[in-house]
Amino acid sequence: MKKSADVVIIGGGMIGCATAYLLSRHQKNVVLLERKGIATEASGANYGMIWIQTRQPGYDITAAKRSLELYPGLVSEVFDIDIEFEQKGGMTVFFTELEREVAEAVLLSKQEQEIPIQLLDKNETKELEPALSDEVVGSFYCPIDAQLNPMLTTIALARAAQREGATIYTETEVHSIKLNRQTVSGVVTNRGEIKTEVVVNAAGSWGSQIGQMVGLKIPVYPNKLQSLVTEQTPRLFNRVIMGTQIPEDATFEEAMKGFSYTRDISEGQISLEAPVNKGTLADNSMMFIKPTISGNTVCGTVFEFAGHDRSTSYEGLSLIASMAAKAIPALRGVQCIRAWANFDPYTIDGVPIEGETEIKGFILAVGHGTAMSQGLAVGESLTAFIVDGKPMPFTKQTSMERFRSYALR
Amino acid sequence: MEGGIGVKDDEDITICRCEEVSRNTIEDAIRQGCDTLDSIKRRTRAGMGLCQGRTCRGLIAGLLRNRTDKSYEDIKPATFRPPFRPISLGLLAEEGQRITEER
Amino acid sequence: MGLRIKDHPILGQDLRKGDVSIEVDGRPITAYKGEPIAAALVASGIKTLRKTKITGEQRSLFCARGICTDCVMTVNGIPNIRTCVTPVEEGMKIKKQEGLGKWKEESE
Repeated sequence: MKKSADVVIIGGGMIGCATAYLLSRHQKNVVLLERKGIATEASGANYGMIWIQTRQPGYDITAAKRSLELYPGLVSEVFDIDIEFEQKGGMTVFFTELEREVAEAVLLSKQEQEIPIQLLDKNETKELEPALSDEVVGSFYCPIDAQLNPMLTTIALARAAQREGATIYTETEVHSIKLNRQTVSGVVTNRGEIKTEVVVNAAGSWGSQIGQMVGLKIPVYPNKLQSLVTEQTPRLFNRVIMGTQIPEDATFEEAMKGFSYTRDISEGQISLEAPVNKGTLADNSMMFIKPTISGNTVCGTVFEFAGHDRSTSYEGLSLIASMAAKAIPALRGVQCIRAWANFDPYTIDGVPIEGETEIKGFILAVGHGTAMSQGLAVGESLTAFIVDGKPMPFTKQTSMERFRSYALR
Repeated sequence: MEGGIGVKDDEDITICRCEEVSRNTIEDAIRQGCDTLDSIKRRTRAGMGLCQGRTCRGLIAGLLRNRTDKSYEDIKPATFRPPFRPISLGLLAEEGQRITEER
Repeated sequence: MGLRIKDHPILGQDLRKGDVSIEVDGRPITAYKGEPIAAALVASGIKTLRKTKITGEQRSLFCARGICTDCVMTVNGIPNIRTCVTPVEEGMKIKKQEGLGKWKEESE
């Protein structure tokens, strides 16, 4: 094992591998440590959505748009494996008048953000997706939304990083981080020690465990998602379709929240402790159905805070199946062959945690709930920061500092 | 799909019958650093098919044992996950609908 | 009919429990009541049960016990049916499955 490195990246998911690749084009000695395998956690278990339509202003949309910009060049010039990148647009379907009304209200703000989004009626929706149920009343359609195979994408970035000279150690677990007067001096693993002055914490939903090694309390937590995959069929539908699962009896304000990943926390008490479940699994569901190149259909999901418990449940999988079958009735006759659970990194405001900390050399890149669609931009900013000292973008939104102001409320 | 799926020459044999992944493809993946059943699965699709690795995982473990310094005890299978055998979404959805209606 | 067991040393002679008519790629076949689809097909001399998606390789029985899915065919319009563990039924329409087969309501 290498004795020293310019930068040690902890975590072999999308954030770690994207950073390893982009950094190793400028830095000679990059080492990535992954305790299991590349893309074995959230980066290998998600729906591979590279979506713009759900984005919020600021960090969220900027990182997503930049990453989408970078993908085609990587696909054509850099990657040596096919990552199944398809840009067929993304669709959010509505089953109730409430959803459609909220969509109308949200449409203008989306267009102001320069998101090329269209509000389609029932017929226009069915024209794009004939297999959709007659219960669909309309949809949001964003033609620039894309999808890819998340496992292969993460692996492709890891391979590209290795070609640029990065060293990747899998089945290598970090046990502790050595400090010399509040400055990083090395990393201790189950396979030996590496001297370094820069550590990037890209450990996703385990970001807080790594933070503890340097005495930092990082409020990122695992949000468990269940998914299932079907046997291969010829394509039943053409693109990733999302459903908001907003209950019919929700208020307009509650329904508005169902349209984005980030959470508005401008009011009320903020707790930085581990989040607790509210309501049942059925109350915490959102439909994602994805047709893949191989012919399998991936379906999700239900959300749960259960620490790092990896079990799936009959309840969860049944709910996912009923959402999918409601949207695409033909799926009723298709068989589920496997299910899994993975951990989306969760932060209280839905915004990742990036940048430097009070520990010199310890850089955060955790809490990315949509790493596939933002990871390239994150790797880019981290590289500029580490190599040129360029400040990370949107630090007000993404730095650890923001939690101090929340705690003061 | 890239990865040299399918048997390309007379010396090669099919390991994952469901996804048509050949021995050469798997050994390439092992040479490129895939040293677990899980990583070989992600890289080559071997084990992702209709039988979910029941037929090929023993063979892939054998290839790993032959090509790396791992013993059979070191080689962990993929996580055992439901369903035990394929089940239609329609059947699962019936239960899901019942749960949704009850709330 | 050469593969049928006519005289089993323990179970005796006539194992037939009655006839069932099925159709395989349009060809009528007589099967024994209760036997797996694949048994009836193989007994009738049908070796290729399907062709694979990527290489078009011909597949037949492999494990013959419901695990490997080599023997899957399209039965009554539904693909991926394991013929080695699915019993024949009167009037069943079975098709040699080409790749993923044809599903109802595909998007074109």
